[in-house]
Amino acid sequence: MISEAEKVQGTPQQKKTHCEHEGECMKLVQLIVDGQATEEQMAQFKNNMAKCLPCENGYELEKCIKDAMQLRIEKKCVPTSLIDCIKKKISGL
Amino acid sequence: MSEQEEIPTLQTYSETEKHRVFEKEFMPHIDSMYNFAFRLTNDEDDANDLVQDTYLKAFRFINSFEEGTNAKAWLFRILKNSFINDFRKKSKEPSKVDYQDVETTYNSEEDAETTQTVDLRAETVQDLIGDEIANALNSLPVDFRTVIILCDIEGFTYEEMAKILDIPIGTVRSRLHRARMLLKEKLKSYAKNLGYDVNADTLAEN
Repeated sequence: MISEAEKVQGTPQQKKTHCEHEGECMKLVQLIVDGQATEEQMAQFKNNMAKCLPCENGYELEKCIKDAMQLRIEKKCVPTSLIDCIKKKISGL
Repeated sequence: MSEQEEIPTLQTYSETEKHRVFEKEFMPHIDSMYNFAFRLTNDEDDANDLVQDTYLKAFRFINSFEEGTNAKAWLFRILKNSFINDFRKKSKEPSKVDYQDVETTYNSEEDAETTQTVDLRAETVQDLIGDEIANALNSLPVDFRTVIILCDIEGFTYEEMAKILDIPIGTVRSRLHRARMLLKEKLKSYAKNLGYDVNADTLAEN
């Protein structure tokens, strides 16, 4: 039974395992992951994903790293003493 | 300090307006600014000084800021310039830079046609904890670290990054590409040292 995702992306067996345009494709993947791609580039990317395993893996890896950067790196809260100090200095200007 | 030359005065706020604009437009970004400063300097005291310095400059040059425009990008640009002009010289950063990384990466920064791939799987990255990801990021040379912070952590567009960093958009793209290649190498190295099977597919094929 073929899943909906496989209908769109192709089954793993149908995909090529070597990408002859990997450099170009990875630049396209970067634009997609960063939300900077045009409609045309988006369509080209979807077409690649349907046929090419290295492109699919490359996308998964880039997306995973970007998500890790956004969600898993600790965000520090600014010390209140710094806010107080800035406000005090500003009010004195 | 060269902001006065770089940024023209756009309006004249009254003293009351200056404080209102400062509070409304600049203060909401202080957490992001502090995190950016900390990631650049790798030092809490330096981050404190850098953020304070940035906010004082922002207030001093507030007439160069048009209310309702992109305050976050404006502040990040001042912080980045302050870091380069005032902090980078005295920071501990030079000893942390792997100059081989810089040389290898910068030599080809404008030539993003070169194809390099890092044999690393998404599953391996998912297994790494936040501290390991942060260590990999912190180990990058500061210019590469900066583009990843701006893009991936702060969510700036390429156009905003180009303005913050004072470089063309094409250079933003290629520097980001190189930075990510380097980051993947670092992540792979961390994963390998921690005992993860970083290229199981390759081994299975052999």
